[in-house]
Amino acid sequence: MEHGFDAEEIQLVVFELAGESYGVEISRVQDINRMQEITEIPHAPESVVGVINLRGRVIPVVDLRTRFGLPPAEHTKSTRIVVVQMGEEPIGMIVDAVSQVLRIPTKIIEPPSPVLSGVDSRYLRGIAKLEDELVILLDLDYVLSKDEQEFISEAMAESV
Amino acid sequence: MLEFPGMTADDIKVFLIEAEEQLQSLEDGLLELEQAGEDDEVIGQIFRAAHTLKGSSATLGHDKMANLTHSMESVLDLVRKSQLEVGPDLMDVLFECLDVLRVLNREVETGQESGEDITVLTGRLLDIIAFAEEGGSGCISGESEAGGSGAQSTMTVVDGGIMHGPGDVELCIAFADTCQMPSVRAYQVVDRLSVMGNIIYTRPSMELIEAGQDIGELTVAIEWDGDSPQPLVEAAMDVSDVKSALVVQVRPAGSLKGEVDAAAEASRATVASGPKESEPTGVEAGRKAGVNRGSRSATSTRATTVRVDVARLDALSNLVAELVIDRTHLAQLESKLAEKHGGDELVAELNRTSTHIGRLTTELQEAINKARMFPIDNVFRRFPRMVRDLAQSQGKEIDFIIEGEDTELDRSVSEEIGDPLIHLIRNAVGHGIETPEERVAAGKAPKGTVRLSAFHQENYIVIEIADDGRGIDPEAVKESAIRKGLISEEAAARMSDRDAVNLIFSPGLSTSKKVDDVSGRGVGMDIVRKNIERLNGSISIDTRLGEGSTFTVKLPLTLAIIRALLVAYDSRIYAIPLASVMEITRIEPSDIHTVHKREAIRLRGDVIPLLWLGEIFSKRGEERGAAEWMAADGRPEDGAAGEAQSRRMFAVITSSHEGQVGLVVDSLVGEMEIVIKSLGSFIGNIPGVSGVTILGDGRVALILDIPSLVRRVVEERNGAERG
Repeated sequence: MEHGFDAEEIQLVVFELAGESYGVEISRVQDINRMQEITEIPHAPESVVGVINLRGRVIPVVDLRTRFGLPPAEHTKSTRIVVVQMGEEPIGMIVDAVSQVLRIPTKIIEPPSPVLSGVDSRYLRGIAKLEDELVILLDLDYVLSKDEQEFISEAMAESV
Repeated sequence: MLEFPGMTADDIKVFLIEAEEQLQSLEDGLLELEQAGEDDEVIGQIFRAAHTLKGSSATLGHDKMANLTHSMESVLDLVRKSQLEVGPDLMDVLFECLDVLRVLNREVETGQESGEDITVLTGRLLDIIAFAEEGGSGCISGESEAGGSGAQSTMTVVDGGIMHGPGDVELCIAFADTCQMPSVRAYQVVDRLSVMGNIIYTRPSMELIEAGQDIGELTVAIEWDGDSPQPLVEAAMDVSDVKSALVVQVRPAGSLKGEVDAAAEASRATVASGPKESEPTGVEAGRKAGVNRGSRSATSTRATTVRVDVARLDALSNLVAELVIDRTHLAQLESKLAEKHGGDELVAELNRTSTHIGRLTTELQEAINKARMFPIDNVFRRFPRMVRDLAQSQGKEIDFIIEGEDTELDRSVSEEIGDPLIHLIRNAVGHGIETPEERVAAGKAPKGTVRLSAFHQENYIVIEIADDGRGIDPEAVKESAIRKGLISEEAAARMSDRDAVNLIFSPGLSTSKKVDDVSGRGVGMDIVRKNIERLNGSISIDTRLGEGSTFTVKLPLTLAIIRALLVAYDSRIYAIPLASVMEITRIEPSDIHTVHKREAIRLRGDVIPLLWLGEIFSKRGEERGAAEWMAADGRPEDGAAGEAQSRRMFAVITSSHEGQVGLVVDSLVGEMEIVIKSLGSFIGNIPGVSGVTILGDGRVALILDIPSLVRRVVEERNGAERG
């Protein structure tokens, strides 16, 4: 199967980013937090906003808008930090809002199509077509991989 | 309570695992031997098992076990050499030995003395040996013959009987000329006497007796409750091969012990005189009296310890650190509530509870930190052998003294400190101490001294390596540095002796005239210093030409928690490890000079370059540095002083081996203990930052990496000088 889901059904945490709905597997999500004070880390990779203190753990936070090259937005009351597990390390992602937790059958997942979203298709595992909306399934390992981090900085440097 | 001085819980655990294997092997072997009869391979197996047990139990300090296995080994050796036949009687004795060994092994496991008496068994084994060597068969019935020579001298000169009430008795025991192993007999005598009273001392010491040294006479001093010393004499005479037992002196109770203690105190600082309030008993008393390592690390040696994975301790430490943060938060909430609802009874109750929780948290934190500590002896104990071998190979005579080996430090530090210490000690032996001829020529004693000592100083552990050798010649160091192109001749001429000596920490400098395998090829001291600074520690030298050198290493007690100075810059908090802070000074724009394009201040004649935190840590486009602070045109001399003058800042003078740099900050927040946390692999290494910490209010602060910040300024200056 192209999207790589073994189960017949998966549970997703769905969040909003620049008007689109994105989903990540609930098993990867450790925590959903309100926006809090972020300590900036100088000279950190471009999309790393800084670190937060999550109950005594220091966790790096990535701005997904910056990551995906979307226009920056003011943080609002609904802005959330979604903490996901990347290997041993938890990483926080700033998203516009967390909307719902969904259970979807894997058979409605279609391969990613660049036409459907403004996000580079390499970040995507597929697109779940629900009755009234589309949920873009993120490939977290790729979104948050270190190689990709470098790739993004290079791309940014070129575009400037 | 059975204790093994100098052994950690880990050592005991290792011993138990190994002993269990060997006991099993012994048992299997004995069973096979009994069933299948004599077989070289099986006898070899039993012999090896006994031998291994002897070695490990002697190392552990379990005298009974070592003694019994030693006797077994001797018997088995005869069997191996076919000088002794295996008969049913011998098998019985060996199996009895196995049973007793199991009991003794359980002592180690439980830490409780079993009271098992091995003298009967060792006596039987020795009799077998004596018999075999007299050309007898494996038959064991001649016990009285073996001890026969002792029986001849029943006309023992006993000067006893003149005793009134309890006192200290000194006995002199002589062994028969035919006695095969006087050390074993001596041990038996002491063992037997120790049951009757506390042994004050033995001559030779128990250490030598255990080592199997040849003994002519044995002197034992014992605290005796009885009216007459006769029972002591009889007990000693009871041991085979004892020719005579003579009461040498009888003294009032406590007087001999007092003398021994005073002598021990005077001879060496490391000698422990044993806990006075709880008098040792039995075999331990013999050890305490004879072995000069008394009470050292007694607490870490109990077999009742539990092995805990370091990861679990780390997890506990982290949890407690979180608790500390929450406690601070709770106190803040509580004071806010108190402001709002002053006299409320509930608030008062909350106050009491929160204070109590605060106290408990502090205690918990201390307890966990203690649990992570263990004596530095674990690091030190491999050094005496190393020094001995080095001294021997170089033809040097060295008295190596260790002090403060029970000083505790965190496991994380002790894992890191071994290699730098090895290097420093090798240097002391290799470069510091002269050959005996050189020493005599210089009017010193031929034997040099290297002293390794450890002690606590506030939140640091200080380790000193001192030698009374030739010292470091600043001129020789300068010469070497010039030759290697590390400094110019002019720079050398200007350099103080102290700075010159510190050049030995420069990469690629070795003062040794010849390259040898002792102290390497000049790739040492810079790495030593780097490693110590990496641990937030420091190293300094105090040396006098011809008199010796002392290297002082100062390290935090733990790597996880350090004391730091918190500073604010641009409303952000940074932590500076206190170990790198030399001093703090207020600065004004008029204090600023420009040297090599970098601002600097003068501090008691030294020029110290300044580094604005904003230069490194501000976001792009938001840099705030010297220029912004001083004046619009960046020249302090004619700048708009008026407004700038009102904005005083602080320079925190920090230092690493590469030099000093003043970090310019807005304000000082305070000094506190911080828990170091890594930024993790996702963010990776950030130049100038060694980690982060969580502050009491939950905010995250960056911990500055001072050596890398200093290096940055130094490299920039070097670049400016070249260009």
